[in-house]
Amino acid sequence: MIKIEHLCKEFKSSNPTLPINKVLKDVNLTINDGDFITLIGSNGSGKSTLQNVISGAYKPTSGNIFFDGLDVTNLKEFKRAKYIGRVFQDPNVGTIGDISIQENLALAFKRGEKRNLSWALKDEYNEIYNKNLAPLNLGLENRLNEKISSLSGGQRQSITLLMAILKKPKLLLLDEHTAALDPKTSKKIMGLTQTLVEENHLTTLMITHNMRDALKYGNRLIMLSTGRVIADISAEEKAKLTIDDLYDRFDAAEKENNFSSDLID
Amino acid sequence: MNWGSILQFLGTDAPTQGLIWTIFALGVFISYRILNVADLSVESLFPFSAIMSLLFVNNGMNPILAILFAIIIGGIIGLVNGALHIYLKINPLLSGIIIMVALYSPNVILSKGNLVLDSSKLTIFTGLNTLINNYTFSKLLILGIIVILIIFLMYWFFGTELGLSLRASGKNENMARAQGINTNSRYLMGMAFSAMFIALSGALYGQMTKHIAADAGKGSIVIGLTIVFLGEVLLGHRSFKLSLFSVVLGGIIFWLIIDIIIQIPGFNTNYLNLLKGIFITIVVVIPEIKKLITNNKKPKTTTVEEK
Repeated sequence: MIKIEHLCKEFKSSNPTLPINKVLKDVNLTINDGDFITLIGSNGSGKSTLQNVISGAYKPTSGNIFFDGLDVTNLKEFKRAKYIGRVFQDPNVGTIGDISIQENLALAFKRGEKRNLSWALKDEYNEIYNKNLAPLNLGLENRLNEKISSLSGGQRQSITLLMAILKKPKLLLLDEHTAALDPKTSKKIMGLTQTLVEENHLTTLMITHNMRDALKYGNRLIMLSTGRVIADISAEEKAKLTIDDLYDRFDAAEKENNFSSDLID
Repeated sequence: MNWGSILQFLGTDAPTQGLIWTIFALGVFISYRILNVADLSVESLFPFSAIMSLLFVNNGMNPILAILFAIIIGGIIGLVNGALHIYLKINPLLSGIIIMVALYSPNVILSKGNLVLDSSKLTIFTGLNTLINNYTFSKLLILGIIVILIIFLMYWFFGTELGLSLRASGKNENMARAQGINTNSRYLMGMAFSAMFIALSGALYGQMTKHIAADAGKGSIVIGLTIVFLGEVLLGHRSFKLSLFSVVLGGIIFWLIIDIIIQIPGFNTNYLNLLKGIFITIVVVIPEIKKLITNNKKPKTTTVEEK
């Protein structure tokens, strides 16, 4: 179980006359084991920042994050990586192009472990990689020596997905991981994501801009607006929602926000 | 080329110079190609290490120990260079320049402008010469063995889990951290390794030439980079293994070319740095021209396919 308490994140502008940018404002969230949460919100609502604070890439201004009761708020990103698998929007961020598939997978295979002076590439590891690659239907089994840069965006993103779960993470963070792909490939990767999440019982937090995906996938939907959680929708409720309902909720939330900020001013 | 002319070539300075600068270029390869940093500190670290090794020998130290100590000191300087970036957030290019400038002082003070080896002292090369009585062969043997050892060492290290994680840190920091790699410690490690290779080449250079000027490192970064680029032009960078060999090949070919140029009758060696500058430009531009040519070809082939 992952617990997020009173999480705030502010970015100071390099120009001191500009106001401090409060991207997350008192976010409270409990992610239960096995949850597949879709996270939506307009640009600047704090979705990516929330993921970056959870992963440790950003330090929160205040608040705490607990993984199974363990306070990880001050744990460095590379140490927290033990618990977290990540897939980014840009396939180039999640993989290294000019080394082989095998070497990329070898890096992921030792996530969260001490890296020592034994060979990084071993035949016995290759068997594991091939076994994991086969269900992806990419035709990349036994092509482990090829460079990642020779792959298509879809293949590359599939590899990143596999890398994120090769060592089962406590939490899988997906940041619009299909947004840079064409619609057909995007659909394929979403299908693959769902299969892998279900088969491995992964706890997942997926950012998406696609309302249809947000409704179709997962057992829970969370909506962010200007740094606050404005809706936390369960599976039953989600099943009844339409895309228009989601837009209505956004509009309502934004009106409320404007109203409350008017009051403060 | 017949055996006679090969022997004649091996008897010149070119192969030994080539091997020393290959070691230097392997250090540059670590900073420039693995860590993505153009580290200018090598310009001062190279003569500094030569001065260290000669000073140690002049003060009675065993020449092999003198080289080892120079390597250790070089590694520490590399760590300081890396720490300037990691802990003080100084741009890596600037941190290299800071070390380069800061080392000018000890270089001038310790060498008093030009440091000469005591004629009574043995170097690693003359030491072996007393055993086999062939100075040219002694130099080639020692440098050849060191280069082969380094290639094996690098091939092994960068193939381990730790070495692979160092390469990953240099290629993609975000990805490396997401995979649980401490990118800061890898950067420090890489900078130290790079500096140790530079120090080794400098220490060997000092003992080979038996004297060293405070400004002997001027333009050395250009030589290092040219060797790295030249190797890549010759062999491409298909795999990491191959890129190690390409540096060695680049080092030897580069000094062969320099040797041929120097031997042109009436050549004024003051033009050598200018020529090196032109040469590196050509070597860097070749892959770009290749890219341009292949990119121009691409649209044509796709239109053919579409028809």
